[in-house]
Amino acid sequence: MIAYVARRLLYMIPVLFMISIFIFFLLRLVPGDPAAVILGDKATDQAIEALRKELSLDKPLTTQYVTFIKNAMSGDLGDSIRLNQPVTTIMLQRIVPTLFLTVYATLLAMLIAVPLATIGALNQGKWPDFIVRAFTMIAIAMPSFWIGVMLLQFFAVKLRLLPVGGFGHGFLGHTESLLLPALALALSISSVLIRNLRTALLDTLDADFIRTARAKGLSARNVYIGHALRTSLLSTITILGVNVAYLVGGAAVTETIFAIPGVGQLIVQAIFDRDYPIIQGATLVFGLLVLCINLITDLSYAFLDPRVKYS
Amino acid sequence: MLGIGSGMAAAALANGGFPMIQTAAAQDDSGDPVIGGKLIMSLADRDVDTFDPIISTFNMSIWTSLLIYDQLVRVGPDGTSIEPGLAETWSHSDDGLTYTFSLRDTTFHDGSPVTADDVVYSLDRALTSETSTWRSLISVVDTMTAVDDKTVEIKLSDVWAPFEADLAFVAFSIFPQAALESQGDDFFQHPIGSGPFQFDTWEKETRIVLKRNETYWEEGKPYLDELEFRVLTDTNARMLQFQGGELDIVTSVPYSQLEALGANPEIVVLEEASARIDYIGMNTKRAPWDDKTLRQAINYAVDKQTIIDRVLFGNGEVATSYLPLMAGHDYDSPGYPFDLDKAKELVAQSAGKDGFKAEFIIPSGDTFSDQVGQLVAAQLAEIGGEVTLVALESGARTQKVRTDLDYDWQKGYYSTDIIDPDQLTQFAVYTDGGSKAIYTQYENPEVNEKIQAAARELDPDARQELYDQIQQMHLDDAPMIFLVYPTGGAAMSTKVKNFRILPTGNYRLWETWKEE
Repeated sequence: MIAYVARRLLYMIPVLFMISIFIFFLLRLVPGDPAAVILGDKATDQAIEALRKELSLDKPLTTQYVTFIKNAMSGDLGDSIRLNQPVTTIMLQRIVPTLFLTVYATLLAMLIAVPLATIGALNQGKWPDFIVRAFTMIAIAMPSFWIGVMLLQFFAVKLRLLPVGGFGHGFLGHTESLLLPALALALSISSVLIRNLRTALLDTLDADFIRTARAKGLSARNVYIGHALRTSLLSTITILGVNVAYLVGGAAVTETIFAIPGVGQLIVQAIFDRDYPIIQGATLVFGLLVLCINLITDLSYAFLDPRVKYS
Repeated sequence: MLGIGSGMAAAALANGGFPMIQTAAAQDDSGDPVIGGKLIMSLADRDVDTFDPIISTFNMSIWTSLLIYDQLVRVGPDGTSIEPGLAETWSHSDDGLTYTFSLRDTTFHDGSPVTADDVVYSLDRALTSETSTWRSLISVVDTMTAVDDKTVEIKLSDVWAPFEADLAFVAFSIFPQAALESQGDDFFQHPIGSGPFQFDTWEKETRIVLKRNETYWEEGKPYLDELEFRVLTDTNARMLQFQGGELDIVTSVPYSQLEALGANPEIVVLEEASARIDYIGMNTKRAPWDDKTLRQAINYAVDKQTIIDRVLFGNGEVATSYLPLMAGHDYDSPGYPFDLDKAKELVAQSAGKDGFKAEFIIPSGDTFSDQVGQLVAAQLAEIGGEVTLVALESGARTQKVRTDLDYDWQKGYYSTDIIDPDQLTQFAVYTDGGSKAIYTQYENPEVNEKIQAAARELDPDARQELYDQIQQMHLDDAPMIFLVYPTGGAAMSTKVKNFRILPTGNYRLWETWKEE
């Protein structure tokens, strides 16, 4: 197991290396000179030229890349052109709300999905099942940013029960401020999870080992939680893994609407401003996160299903 | 309208005797100021990019920095005059070449006194630093001397009519020399000035908090304890925060929502706005846009009133010259009234007589520009124009328009940073003003000469006459499609009192208070 994890971690290095080459050169193919963009319309040509020099943008691309990767390997991702701070400092600050939101949304999504899928599977073909299925259809059809705006309009603007966005202060403040955005994200992921888990449960409940478990006199609750749910969650976890990876990267829209100072907003603004160091740094961090989430997903199989062994 | 107080003679000069613009105060200022409280306001375009005012060219940075730093003089409440700032009084020699400023007794936020040396140091930095974007604005300065602790003498190499208006600009803010020199660039992460508010917190791209300067030189001000600026670039997020009661003042309100907001008795919609023009710049060095007759025909064919009615929902006026509604604007300018017959007649004599095709660059994600673009495209089809809209985000747009000058038309806007017409004239019309006449590459030697003459003309009437001529010649040459001067666009809670937006776009928040 430990050898397996170590090997997986080692594999990450070449992947991240490829990502760095890809993003570095791709970025520079996009038209737009960071110096001109950052200084704005009224800046003089001399000021732009001076900034280009200061940022080493006048050096050959390969030289720039070598400098970048050398520094990156010692943990220095450069300084943001626009924010005048080290990229690592900025990332450490901005990753907190994004991770908080991602974990929060994931938990909520599971909290919504597991009970609803259970209700649907245990009442197959009856009215509770229809309601659950109708719910998933509606939730899947509504984009999360739209759900977000609606939730804000109702709970924050009309009823004034919750803050209108922001990140809040302290753990409780974060929990309160991020409830609506996490819920908006959770609702849209949960529909996929419910559909998947419900189908998996139906298959599992028909399986031979469930009949055996029942026959040996286990309570319906034990059969369901210990055997049926645990087995069915395998495929759902795969889908969840993919969705969480997507959440980390795709939270930009939600972060924007809810004014959450996360990495999503940071990277969008950085792209507009051609803030190369931020885009490069954030892409690498995102890459690393997605790789980690994949690893965690794979490891959770072993936990859920004793037949899965890693060596 | 002359200036106030001891700066009167000089103020008249800076104001240039230009007709004063009435900015309707939309709110009721009656009642006594309430001391204390916190005001929260949006920063709509972007976060402050830097608090180093010699570098930044962005409005959000300029307007916020103006609350932290003092300049020698500042823009008065009427938005057209210059009033005393750090300089309590000032005077200039008869030839207009030597200015003497007497500083008031006051301190920076760190407690150190404001001295003549600080002034000389700060202005010198703005004039000579490699990174200074604003050097050209007062390049006319020859020498600066600290005569004594509280007196600064500035000698100009040439007469410069907009000098005092220029000095009120944020790039010429006064810093504590000792602190700036010892901290270097780090100084601007937690800036120190002598202005009405002092810097407290800066959570990048989230919020900026300023606190009341307890020792501010203006007696009893500011009224508010605390100011918070929230960075809210997304329109939906901004409006939701305002409607949810999290913001006291919201800026850049979509025009389509202004009327609904105005109907709410707890909300005041502000009518004034920064002096701004929206235009379509044409690349006059590229065929067929090098043909003046065609450019005029296009101007006649665009119905600006329709744009105001349908896109701005009535919040604006038809643009009649390159100068927004501010000092120096030619109020008699005819502009290009919508006249389709005239447009057809002109286009038949022009390079576009067999039809013309234009690639029209607009900023992506900007609903206003997109709607304007579609209206203009439809209207120009009437005279044989085939206009294709190309939405580009800022980086790609800057590359194409500014760096490569590889474009036909582009939608743009500009607003003034000083109350004098000189800055915008240099920026938008003068060939060598740095932006190649906002990338139109417009070049009329006679106009260029008049621009230089106007900047050196001290007689207000003669000066206005020159600006009138510049506007008429530029209008006739039509290097741009003159569209609209938008107004309004901000709203606030009725609790906020005595808040107004100056033509320079900034706000005198030290005079604003908030009722409970």
